[in-house]
Amino acid sequence: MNNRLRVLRAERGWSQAELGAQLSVSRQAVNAIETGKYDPSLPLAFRIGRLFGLAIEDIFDDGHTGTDNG
Amino acid sequence: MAYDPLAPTEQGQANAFRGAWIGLVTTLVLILAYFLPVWPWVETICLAATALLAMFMLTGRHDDYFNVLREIGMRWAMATIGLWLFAHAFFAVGEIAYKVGSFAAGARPDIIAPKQAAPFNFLRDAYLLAIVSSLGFFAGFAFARVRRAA
Repeated sequence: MNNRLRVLRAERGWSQAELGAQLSVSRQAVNAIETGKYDPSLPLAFRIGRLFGLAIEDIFDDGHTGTDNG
Repeated sequence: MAYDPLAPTEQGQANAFRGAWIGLVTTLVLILAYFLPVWPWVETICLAATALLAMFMLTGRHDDYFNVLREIGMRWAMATIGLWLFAHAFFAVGEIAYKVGSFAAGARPDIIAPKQAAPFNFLRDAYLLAIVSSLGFFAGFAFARVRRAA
């Protein structure tokens, strides 16, 4: 899953450790999300969205267009 | 997010990942020490470190990513134990088949010698199984850390 976390973090001038501290996760977790090694849990995705003031889908992109039921 | 006075710090959580790498190294040393003579104090220190790290990794409060890696490590450890038991069962079946075959060929049951019990006795060694399954855990954790975890 692609995401804009690195860009959003860079815009604010935060290090991975600083972002991790604000999200209550480790620097390694932030790095793993940024590099696409790990997709965050739903609670963590919500925390990320709230921190940046964005919706989850504005940060994470699963590459799927349209709706599943349409 | 509600304030949690006991929540681990970012530094503490980052240290937990380093602990996993240390655990991998100490487990490798233990396996080396099992087969090769090393200084006893090195083995003792590594044994204590591995035990403490294993307990810490299973009981400490960690972030989601760490928990995912830990789960993968535990799957590897269980797979290691499963393979170990399968190997044990395989050789046990071989031993039984040998005795049955010898009996069917006309040998007296009381003079059928064990086929090859000694070379596989290590499979009954609980300490070796413990350190090998520990290696499975830390290796699985490290593998998932390097590769894509979830």
